Amino acid sequence: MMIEVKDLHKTYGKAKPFEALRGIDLTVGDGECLAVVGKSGSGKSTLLHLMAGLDTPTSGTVQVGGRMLNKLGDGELAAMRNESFGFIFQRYFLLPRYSVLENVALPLMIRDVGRADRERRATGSLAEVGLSDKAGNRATDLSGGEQQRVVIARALVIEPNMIFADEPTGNLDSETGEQVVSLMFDIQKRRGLTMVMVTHDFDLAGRCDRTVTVRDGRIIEAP
Amino acid sequence: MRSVDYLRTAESNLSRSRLRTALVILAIVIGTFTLSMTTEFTEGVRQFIHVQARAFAQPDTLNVYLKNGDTGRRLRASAVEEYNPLRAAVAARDVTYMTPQDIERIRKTPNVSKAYPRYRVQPDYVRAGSSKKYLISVDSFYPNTSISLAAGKLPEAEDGKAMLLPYQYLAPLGFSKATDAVGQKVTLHFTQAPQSLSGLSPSALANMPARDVEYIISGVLIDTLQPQNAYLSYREVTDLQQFQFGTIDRFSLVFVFTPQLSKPDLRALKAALDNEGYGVFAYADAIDRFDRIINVVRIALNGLAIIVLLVAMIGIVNIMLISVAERTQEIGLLKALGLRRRGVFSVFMYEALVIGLWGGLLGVGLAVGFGLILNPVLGRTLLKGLEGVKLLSFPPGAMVGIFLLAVLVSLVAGTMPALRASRLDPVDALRRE
Repeated sequence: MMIEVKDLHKTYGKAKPFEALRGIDLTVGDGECLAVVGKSGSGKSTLLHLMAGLDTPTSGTVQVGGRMLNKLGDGELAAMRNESFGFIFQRYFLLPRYSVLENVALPLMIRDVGRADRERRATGSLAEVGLSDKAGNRATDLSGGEQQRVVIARALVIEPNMIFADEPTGNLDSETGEQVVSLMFDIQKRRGLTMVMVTHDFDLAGRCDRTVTVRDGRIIEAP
Repeated sequence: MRSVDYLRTAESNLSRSRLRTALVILAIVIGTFTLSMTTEFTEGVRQFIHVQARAFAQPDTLNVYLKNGDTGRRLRASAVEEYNPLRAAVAARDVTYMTPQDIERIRKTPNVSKAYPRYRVQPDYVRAGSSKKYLISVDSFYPNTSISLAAGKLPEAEDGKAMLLPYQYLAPLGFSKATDAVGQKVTLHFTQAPQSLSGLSPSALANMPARDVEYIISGVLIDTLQPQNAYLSYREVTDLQQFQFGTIDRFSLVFVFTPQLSKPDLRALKAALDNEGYGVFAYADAIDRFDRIINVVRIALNGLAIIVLLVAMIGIVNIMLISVAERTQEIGLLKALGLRRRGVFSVFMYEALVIGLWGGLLGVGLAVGFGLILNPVLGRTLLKGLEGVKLLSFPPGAMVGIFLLAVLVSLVAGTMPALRASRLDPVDALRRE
């Protein structure tokens, strides 16, 4: 799936407006892995949210897989995220009262997939990240690295075309971070997924196909 | 998401903070319980009054009197009339009676099925065997009379030897319970009335012809708050009238049977009789008056109960708003993973639904259980002997209605928090630390 971003602006607040993005043009090719780096407050997370249709731009357009996100209604946008986008967050966002398996199956539950079917698919997804033996555990009882692998399984369970990762190793020590990252790249390459990864870690960014740097809401050429 | 998943999610979320959920449900339970109890109580009182009234009179009957007659003045209760010197003078001078001609006229009125003179014979006393003698009043039962009985059965209308005994006379006449009295004999003593009161002396009164008449107790009337009349067949009362007063052509009341009438029909019948110069006192009017009072009480009590439900509703809104605030991240995640606004709305509405279902079920269930336990206790104590009376009565329709009301209240309460949740910005929610 290709992403085309054209002249993207995003301003927060009305009384004291803050320009998070000041005209971004960007293209991510199908199957490409793009790293977006920048300091905190540079606007890189805002860019990711806009590309994933979690937020609406003040002006400019985002086109994903040939569809203009700003032309889609709440339902269509939600369906697109549910069917095509996998999310990996720095803070995992696993539901504490749910088991690992239920957490992984959550996007399928949202999609109205029946229980047996979604549990079967979630089990397969968990095997792929090497956590089959933790299926029955409470998600929040796992270690940080394991939790992030559950998040990866949750992103994979929908067979996505697209992965959006926001500081995937931000809460992990370097060793576990490395394990998680290799797993991500391994899967991305194997499945030929398009991936957009926001990070401030230049080592991590260097392992992507391409890196763009965001500063003060604009893309500056890579150093 | 599928309904079953929404339900499971709701249950899981509600069990996250058990105490809080229990307290919200308790609020609904208290409201529903209060509303059920006030409904049970007023319905019970209404039925109680209807059963009591049936011991004195019966549905679909009217007492018809001459508007200008003696009884007219006594029975007239509902209307304020203008002063009429002529009438006042007539009223003071003597008493106007109804005659068989009146019966004929009343019978011809549409919707009158039967009309009988209502005689007022007065026995001196009643006794059973060698019991003491007691004062008693008698009334007539007519063909198709229906009266609430504690024991025995209604006799044939033409059975001159049958009598229905008021419950209050059981013990004085030496019967230990109602069923013992059925089939037993009692004696009424009648004395002929003097034709004129002038020059009447006690010795003359003692020399008036008198007779003892023996009756068989065919049934015992239910216990009532006020003692009522004994009933004899209208044929027997007619004979007694002849004996006691020397004529059966003078009476002050006519007892009228009608088919079951709608309120407009009853009003039309009363208007027609009114045109002919008759006043009407209907059983339905008396019951109506009671029902109106009970309805006022019902509305007042239910109003209070509904205030309790409203307070519970505010509690639900409050708690659910807190819940939405606490679960901001979860809502953001669900949205990011593709749950639409409508879906987030439903997540919270299902929680409200579960609260309403449990609250309604427990509240109504508790009230019904309370009634089932309390009714027999009341029957043995406070309402002892008042047969067929349940002070707490639960009409199933009303109970189902109250249950649905609890669910509705809960759903209405859930709407605002659910809307707020559905409008949360996922980015805001995910960013929040």
